[in-house]
Amino acid sequence: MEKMAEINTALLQLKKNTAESAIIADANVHNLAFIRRWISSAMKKQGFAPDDISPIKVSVTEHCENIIKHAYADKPGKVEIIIRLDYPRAGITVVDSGPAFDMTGYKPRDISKRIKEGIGGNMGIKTIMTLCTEVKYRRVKNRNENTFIIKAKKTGKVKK
Amino acid sequence: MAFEIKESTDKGIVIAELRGELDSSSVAAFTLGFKEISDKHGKAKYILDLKALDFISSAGWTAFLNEFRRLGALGAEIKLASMQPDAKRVYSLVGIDGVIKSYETVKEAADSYGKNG
Repeated sequence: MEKMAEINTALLQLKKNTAESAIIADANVHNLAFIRRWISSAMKKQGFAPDDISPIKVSVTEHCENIIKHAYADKPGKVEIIIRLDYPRAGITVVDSGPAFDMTGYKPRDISKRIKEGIGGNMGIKTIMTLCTEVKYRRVKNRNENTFIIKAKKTGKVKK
Repeated sequence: MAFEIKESTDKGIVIAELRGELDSSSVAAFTLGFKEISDKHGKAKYILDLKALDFISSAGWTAFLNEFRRLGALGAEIKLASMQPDAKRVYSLVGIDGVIKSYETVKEAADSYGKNG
């Protein structure tokens, strides 16, 4: 899997500023681990603690899994991920070219019955909306822009 | 880290140790790996040891629920052990804690089988 991540890295375009960076990646499940590592590394460098990084890693993964499965319906597509870090605030924007979908206006289904029956599924949006401090949505030029925001806990900045 | 599943047994209890990250890229590896283990042991008591599972998305949780339901229909049981705090947060949040029991350690999970059958 490490080798796969290296190969995928070559497909990514990277632009870096101080606390703002972005990647464009193929919307492919095999890129998810790389995306998580990239976000985690950027947030660590800015002093975010693992407890603050985890909700973002989960939220971006859930959202990208939804994009791959639903927005692109397993067809080829791209996701652009933009990180804006200003401790204690972290905002990660995920951009896709799928059909318009505003998760902030979506009422997640009651999944308790499905879970009790051992079926699962439909957990992603509920998880994202609960873990993030705020989620923002915009539709710009036929693209969905979802921004996942967390505010670091009061435990303080982790020194490098 | 690539996903791995390793099997061991202790006093008749089948322990499947999961390592790495479980999301939609690795969920098939879990399902196939665990099916191979469960096909060998059938109606048994299983523990999924999650100590070295560094990440799990809802695709992974759904796979756990599917295996819980599939093996439950055969009369087998599955319990979780040594879950990391990040995973525990989602486990409680989406309500899986009301379906699959979780224990702090593999030993506690194994002992619970002794107490509860």
